[in-house]
Amino acid sequence: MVETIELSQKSEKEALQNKIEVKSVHFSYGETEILQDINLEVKEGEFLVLMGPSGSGKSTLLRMLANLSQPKSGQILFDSPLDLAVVFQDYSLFPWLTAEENIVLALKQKLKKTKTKKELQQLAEQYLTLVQLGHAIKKYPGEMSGGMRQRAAIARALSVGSDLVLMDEPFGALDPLTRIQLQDLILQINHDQKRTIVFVTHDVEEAIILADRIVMFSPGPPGKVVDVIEVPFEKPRNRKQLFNSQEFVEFRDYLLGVMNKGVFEKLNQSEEVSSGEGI
Amino acid sequence: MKLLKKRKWLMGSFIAASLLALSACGAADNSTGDTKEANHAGQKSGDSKYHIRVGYLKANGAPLADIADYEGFFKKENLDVEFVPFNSSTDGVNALQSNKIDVGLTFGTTTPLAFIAQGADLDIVGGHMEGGHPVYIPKEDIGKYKSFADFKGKTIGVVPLGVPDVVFKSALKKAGVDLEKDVKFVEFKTVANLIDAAGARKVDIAFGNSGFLSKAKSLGLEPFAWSNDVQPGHVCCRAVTRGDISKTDSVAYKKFLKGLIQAERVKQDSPETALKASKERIKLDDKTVNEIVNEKHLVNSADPSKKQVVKLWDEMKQLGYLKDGANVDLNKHFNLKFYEEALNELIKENPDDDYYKKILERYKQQNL
Amino acid sequence: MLKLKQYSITFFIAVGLVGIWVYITSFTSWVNPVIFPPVSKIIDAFVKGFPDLLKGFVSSMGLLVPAIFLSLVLGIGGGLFFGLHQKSREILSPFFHTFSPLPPTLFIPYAIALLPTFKLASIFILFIGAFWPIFLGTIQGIALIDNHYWDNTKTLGIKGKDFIFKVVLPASAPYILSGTGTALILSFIVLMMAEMFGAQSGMGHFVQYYTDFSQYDYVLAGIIFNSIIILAIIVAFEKIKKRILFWMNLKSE
Repeated sequence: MVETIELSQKSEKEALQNKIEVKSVHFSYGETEILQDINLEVKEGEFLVLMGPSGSGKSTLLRMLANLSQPKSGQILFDSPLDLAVVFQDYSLFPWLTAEENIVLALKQKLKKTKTKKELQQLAEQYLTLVQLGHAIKKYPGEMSGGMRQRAAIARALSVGSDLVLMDEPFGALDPLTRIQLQDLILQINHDQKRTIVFVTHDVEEAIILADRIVMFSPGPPGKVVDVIEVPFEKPRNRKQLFNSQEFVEFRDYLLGVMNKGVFEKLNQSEEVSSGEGI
Repeated sequence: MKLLKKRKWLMGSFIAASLLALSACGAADNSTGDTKEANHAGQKSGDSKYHIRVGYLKANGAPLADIADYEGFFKKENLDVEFVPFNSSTDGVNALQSNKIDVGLTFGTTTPLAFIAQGADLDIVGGHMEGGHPVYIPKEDIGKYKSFADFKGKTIGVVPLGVPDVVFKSALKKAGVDLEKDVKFVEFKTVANLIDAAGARKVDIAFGNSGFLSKAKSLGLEPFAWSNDVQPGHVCCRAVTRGDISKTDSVAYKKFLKGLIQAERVKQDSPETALKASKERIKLDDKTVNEIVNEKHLVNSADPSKKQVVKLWDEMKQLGYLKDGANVDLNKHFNLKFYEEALNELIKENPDDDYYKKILERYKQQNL
Repeated sequence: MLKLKQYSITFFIAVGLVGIWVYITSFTSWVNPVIFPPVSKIIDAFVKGFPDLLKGFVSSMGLLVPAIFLSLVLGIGGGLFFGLHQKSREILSPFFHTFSPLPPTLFIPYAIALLPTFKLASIFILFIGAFWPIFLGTIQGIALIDNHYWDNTKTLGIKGKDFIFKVVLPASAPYILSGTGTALILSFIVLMMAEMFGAQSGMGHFVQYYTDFSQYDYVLAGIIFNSIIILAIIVAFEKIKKRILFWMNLKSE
């Protein structure tokens, strides 16, 4: 029997210590099990990175946190009814609206009719300026570079006053320099504005730079949580110093080791299967 | 999906917009529409004018009604005639049945008869055209055929269910030609298509219609025989109405036929007037219009010619065109009252004129 | 500049076609001059028929404009409803599949019987021709909306008027507009049928009328006139389409 469980946002509020608790969540796509027995929590104000190779189900978990799909079984508990915003790898913005119109459209839904159009536009401008897009307010996504588009998407996520920002490999399609700039931007936002961020990536260095904690997924299917690791570096982190330090190199190798272990196991499994077939 | 839940406003605006669109059409119609809404034949209230909507086939025109209009016969009777053109007689008869027009003037005879056989409540009230249909053969074949019997083994182009189709097929049968075995028929949708095909020598013989003579000649075709010669007095277009005509409306029908009877006389006496009157309706060069209106084999008569209609009906039956109509009594589908009244009024109004008395004699001969 | 070059080729092909026509009709006896009239006769017919053609244009527009407007309103409106309501769509889609391929001529007797005037009946026939491509285009457009847009819509909680006008319509616009383009072209074909009854003038009427009398110089003159009008309308429509879909052709700096 398939048990569908609604996102409960109320009853267990008192008992909840964390912002979100994910309890023995399973998810499958037809016959294929995508996620198996996921347990984790998201703490208030933290920067949590979900890391793993592709196919490990980390993005699927993010979609469930965003209420875009429902777990097959298990629970996802939120501490209070919260505003959340999602930044996708691309396509976060509607291409037929300018940066400003995209944000105004989102704001209108949150603020209902409490603000005039002018006020909404001013708010949109503020957030676009915050992400250094003050000059591109009237630009359409098609006229912007990938980095600009992601800045605008971040501005929109922030503008709707979200306590929780979910990001699904948001910098995956960007060139290295832009990527670094946006990593710094998002760290600053996490710090200055005390936003909780759940961030999906498969890039180890990105994970170390950004995360307070890293949730490691095994290669799926089905994806499982192998380990939850605290990042042992103080924030704010100096990228250059950090990258040159021995501790960083060791930590990175450790993470890669954890991730590769899963990958090798997976490869052996499939080799066994194919050699088995060969006989 | 929560997002896709009921969107009442969507339905609302959808309905509102459609109403708006409909009313917009309505408005457009009022300003430019050439057909008036819901004024069927008869007298408009608070208006002493009578009104009648006359449907005609574009390819046939409506010569008698045009002459009556041109000569002011309708005006004299205080009758307002609205002309409604059609491309297909089936559409025209359907419009008549659904009360969108009041008289079908040039929808042929066979189409209304086919409808009557299907149980349509239609009455024949008068006439418009008789004869005038040629059989065309290529000019290089002149002399090749002496009679219809010589058509054996040939390919013949026809527009199925038209008057020429019925008249000439009956003639073939009479000449001993087996329609199934001895000849091959190729069917065409329009007369123009048929003439073009015969011109391109794709058929050996064409059972043509009136009105295409010079076109046919320019394509190297010549008339071999005329329908009048094959079957003297055979009817073509009949004036048809609905069967349920109220007493008040019937005045308009009588006035209309009165106009046609007078027009028939003008047509005989003065072909030039007929040409002038028809030029407004048929937008072709004078020569072609004259040919359509005044070709000498073509006779315009307002007489219902009941006996000839019955003959055509029987021929259609024999050709297997009216299988469903075997039990329909055609006699119930004539309404000769309007014609009689119109003629009697004309005789009364013109006591010294023998013409109408002769027409009455003809009526008695052809109908009673 | 490239465009100009492109169209000059188009122009030369047109000139070439006319040239072939002139050669065959005036300098050879390969074809029958009645069915293939020489260019001089066509031009003559065009000049003589021009007042009628203009009148026909006005009266045809009197049918086309309300019919297209109605098709747009009901096609997009209905397409939105059925595109967004899967249940209703599944229940009624057998009807859509049954009725959409029927030629509008089939509806002529019913249109004449049910609608109060011939003009409304003609508009209805045109509407039937133009409605389906727009309606089905809208449904298809909604079905093919990129999942990313739905995700965004859901996470942002976009509802109501904004949902329709800021998300669904723009996202499905490419298909709605391609359906509208088909509808426009189709409506000129259907115009011939819609003007087969009750019409005293019209672009379709003109061609149909002279076809009945096999006056092909007039028929061809009418076809040329109609082609010019259709071309002008299609060019204008493509401009509008490009403007509406501007966001598909933007270039980043």
